[in-house]
Amino acid sequence: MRNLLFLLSKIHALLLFIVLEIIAFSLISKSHTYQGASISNTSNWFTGSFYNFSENYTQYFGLRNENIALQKENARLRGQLKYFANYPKQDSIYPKRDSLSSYIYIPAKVINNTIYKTHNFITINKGSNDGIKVDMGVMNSNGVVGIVSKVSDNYALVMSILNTNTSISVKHKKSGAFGNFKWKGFNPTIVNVEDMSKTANVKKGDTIVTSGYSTIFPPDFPIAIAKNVKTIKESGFQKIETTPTADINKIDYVYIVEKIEKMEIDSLESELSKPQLNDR
Amino acid sequence: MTGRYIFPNTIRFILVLLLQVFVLNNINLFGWASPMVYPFLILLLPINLPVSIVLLSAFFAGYTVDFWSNGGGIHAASLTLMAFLRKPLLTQLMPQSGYEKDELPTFVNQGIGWFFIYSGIMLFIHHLMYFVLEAYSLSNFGLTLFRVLVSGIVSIMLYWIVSLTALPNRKKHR
Repeated sequence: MRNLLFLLSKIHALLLFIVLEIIAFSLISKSHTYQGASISNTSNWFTGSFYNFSENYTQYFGLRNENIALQKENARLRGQLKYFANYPKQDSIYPKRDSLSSYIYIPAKVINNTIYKTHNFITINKGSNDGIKVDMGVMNSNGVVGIVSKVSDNYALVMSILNTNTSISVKHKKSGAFGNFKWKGFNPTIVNVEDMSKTANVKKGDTIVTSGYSTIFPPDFPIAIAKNVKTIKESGFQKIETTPTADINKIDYVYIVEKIEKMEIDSLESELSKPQLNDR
Repeated sequence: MTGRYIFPNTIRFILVLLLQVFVLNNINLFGWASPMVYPFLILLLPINLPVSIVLLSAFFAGYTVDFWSNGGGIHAASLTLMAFLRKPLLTQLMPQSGYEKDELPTFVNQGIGWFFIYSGIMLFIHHLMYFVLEAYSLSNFGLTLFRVLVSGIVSIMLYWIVSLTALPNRKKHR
């Protein structure tokens, strides 16, 4: 017994070290499980309300740029309004709801954001009380920002497009070829488009838009501009590097998008036991 | 005597953790260097402090940073590893005359060369563990190593700037 106590007193530091590391690693693995209920993220009420408080004071620094962005968006929407004014009445042969109106948009403010990690997250000030659910799309007036990954009552955590786990189904605007939008890490201004057929013949400066194959984002919404395109001889694909149209470093206000029939489509697809067409 | 360390160290922990979470976590230089000063909390604890106290303070400090920055437990895990390897490293680096009682491992007490080696090795251990856990894979290890080195250099430079301007330049036993 005395020997045992002696041994314990000699290695108690090692034991404590092992116990603490086990706790830390279990916290890490918990934070990496998708939708895992994690207590250590900024979408919990404690840190969320604190970041909200500090954001209330720092938001004034970005007001000038925010005004310009809103003005641009207003101009764009006015242009669309003119177009829809000439649209035929509802009782004609046109479908009752077009693809634009079947999405609802919830505005939110960004209260915490990183771009330099491998798995970047954005915290926004809307949560399940405002109707935010996991897997909703997040965008701003320029482009796609990310996908909601965790929700608390008043806050939500968004997997930004600058997260190596995020993958979004996209399409080349000119040719309509499909691909996958995926960040490789490191450089926040370059995101790759994978698995896009060589026949699409993407050129520098071409626009990449959301495909609409998934129910997360509305179709044909701009996401990136092609920057470097290399053709690989032996494969059927091009190596496409793009610049996201939304500057993740500078976002302040975002919209959370929800497709109204999303539930219906999702449950239908899972009934068929097909592989889900979700962006994940 | 460990009692008289508690108050100044508690204040220092709070101030440095606030600085880390609300200022430094929002800074990234050149897109890949994230400055970290909170490892210096553990680096600068008195040499004779029991290892278990060092380990617990490291876990606490690391977890606090995790809590505020969506880390899960990566800061806690890497800082605890660094704290565990502190004692062996201090033994390795011990000068021939040994350490004085209650001595602090600062550059004022131990000399600039000694402190540079000590803080360099400790920060390398911490940053390596942190960036490997942050990437959550060993693929692209070259990039991870690059981040470790750049962030390490930035962290050390930041510490030197702060300590050379803010600390009185005399032998301290606090």
